Amino acid sequence: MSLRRNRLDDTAVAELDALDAALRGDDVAPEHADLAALVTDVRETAPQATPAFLAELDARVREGFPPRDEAPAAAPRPKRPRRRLLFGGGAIAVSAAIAVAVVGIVGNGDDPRTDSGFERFSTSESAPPAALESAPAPDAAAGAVAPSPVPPADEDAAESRQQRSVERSASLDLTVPADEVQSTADAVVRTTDRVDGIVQTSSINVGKGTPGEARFELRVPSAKLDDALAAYSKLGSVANRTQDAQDITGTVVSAEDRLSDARAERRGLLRALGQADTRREVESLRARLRIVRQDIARAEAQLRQARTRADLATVAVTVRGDGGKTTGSADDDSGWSVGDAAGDAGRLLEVVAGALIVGAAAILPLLALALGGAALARVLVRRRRERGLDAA
Amino acid sequence: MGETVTMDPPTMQPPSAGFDALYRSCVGDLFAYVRTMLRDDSVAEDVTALAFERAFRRRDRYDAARGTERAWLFGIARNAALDELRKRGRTTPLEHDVAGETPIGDPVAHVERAARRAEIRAAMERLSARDRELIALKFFAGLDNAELAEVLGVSESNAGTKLHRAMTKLRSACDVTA
Repeated sequence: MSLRRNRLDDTAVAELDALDAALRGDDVAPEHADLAALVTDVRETAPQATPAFLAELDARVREGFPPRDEAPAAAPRPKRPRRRLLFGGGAIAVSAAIAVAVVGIVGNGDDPRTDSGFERFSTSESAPPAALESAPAPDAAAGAVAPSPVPPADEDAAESRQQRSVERSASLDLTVPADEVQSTADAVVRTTDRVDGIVQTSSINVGKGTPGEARFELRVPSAKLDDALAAYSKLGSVANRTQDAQDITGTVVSAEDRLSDARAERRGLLRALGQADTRREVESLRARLRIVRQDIARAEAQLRQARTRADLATVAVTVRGDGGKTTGSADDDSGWSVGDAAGDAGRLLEVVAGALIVGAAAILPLLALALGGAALARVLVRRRRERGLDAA
Repeated sequence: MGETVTMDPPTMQPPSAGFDALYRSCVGDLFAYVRTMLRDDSVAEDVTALAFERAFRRRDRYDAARGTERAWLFGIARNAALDELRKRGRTTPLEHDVAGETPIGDPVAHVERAARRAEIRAAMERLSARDRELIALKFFAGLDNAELAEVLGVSESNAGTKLHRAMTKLRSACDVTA
C-alpha cells in the first residue's frame, strides 16, 4: 500500500481498497456503495465458457494434453528463431568487437611486457638512437680501429679522419648456483686475460647464508668484445645482457687537431729561435716553447684517452648466486623437496589465478552486454506483443 | 492461492493435484479475461486451452519467488492472447449472446438486470483495449494489485494507478450510458 500511496491520492487509495473488499465479498463503506454495485454489475457481464468447451478442456487436462490431430485455430504464431538468432548474433558480434577494441587499447597502453623490466630478462642490444645513426656496425667499427696507444704523426691525422671511432660498452648479469660464485668469478678473470683485457675493478662477496655476488669492471679490446661476451655468457645463466655503442669520432678528431696545431706552432717557434738575434728575443721564444710543449702533452694525453676509449670496451659483469639452488639441487632432481613442491604449487596457482583474471576481464564485458541485450530483447518483444493490444 | 503447484515432470502424464486445482480455480476467470481481450468466443476458447496447455508443459519452470501461480498463468494467457491479436491484426466486435438467457423469478427485475448488463457492456466497449484488459483482470479474474503488476510487467504502484484510471473511465462510461 505504501507504493500505491506514492502515486495515488487518498481518495483513490480508498477506492481501490473498497474495490478489493467488494471483490472479496466484504462489506464496503457507504460512500463506496456505488463501487460495490459496479463490481456486481461488471462481474455479471463476465463472459462464460460454454459447458461443451469446459467438458472438452476438462478431458484434455485429465489426459495431460495429448497432441491433437488438428492444429488449434488460435495456435500461436510460430516463434521466429531467425530473428532471435540474428539479434543474438548481432549482440555477440558487437560485444566481441568492443572486447577486441578494449583489448587492443589496453594492449597498446601500459603493457607491462613492453616495459624495460621485461626486456632485461631477454638478451638485448641497445644503443642511443643518435649514436646508432652515426655509428657503423659494432663489429665493423671495432675492426676499423686498431689499438694504437701512441699518437700518430701529424701526417697520420688525415688518414685517421677517414675512420670512425666507436666507444663500446656492455653489461652482463649471470646467475649461477650459490656455491659456484667464486669459481665463476675466477673464470671471468681468466677469460679477460685470454682476450688481452684487464680487470679494472672487482669485488666478490661469498659467504655462508648469502647467495653470493661478484662484480667486475673490465676493459677488453673492442675488436674482441663479441668473443669475450660469448665466453662470459657460457659461464652461467644470462639474466641480462646489454650492449651500447657510441660514436666518439668527433672527440678523437678534435684531440688530433689540437695536437697537430700545437706541434706546428712548436716547429715555427723552433725556426724562429734559430733566427733569433737578441737575448731577450731568445728568452721570449723559449718561454713560449715551454707553454707549447705543455699544450702538446695535454693534447697527446687527450688523444690517447680518446683512442683508449675506442680501443678498449668497458664491460660490467655481475655474477649472482641463486639462493634457492646449489649445484646439487640444480643437477639432481632427486633433491626436489617438499619446500620445492610448495613453491612450484604456489607458482602454478599464481599462473592459474592470472589466467582466470585475464579470462574474467575478457568475458565479463561480453556477459554484461549479453545480459543487456537480453533485457532489451525482452522489452522489445513485450512492446511488439502489446502493439496488438493497441490495435484492438 | 499462492502456494506452489506440486511439480511433476513435463511429460504426457495426468496432471498433479496441484495443477488440477489451479485449473479448477482459474478456468472460468481465465476464459472471461481472454474473451474480453479477443472478443471472439471461438478464438477465446482456443487461446484459453492453449494457455493451460502451455502452463502444464512449463509447470516445472514456475518460480514461486516471482509471484503467485495464478499471476503466472494469467501472464501465459496474456502472451497467447496478444500473439493472437497481433496475428489477426483486427478484432471483432464484442459479442455476447443475451438472447438465450432464460428469465428466472421476477420478469421485470430480470429485464432491468439485462438492461444494466447491456449498459456495462456498452461502457466496456468504449474503453480502450488496455483499460478493458485491466478491468477484466481485476473484476473478472480478481487479481490483486501485485498479481496485476506481474501480469502486466509493471510496478505495483503503476498497476494501481493504471487500474484506478481505468476504473474511473469505466464509471464515467457507465454514467454516460445510463
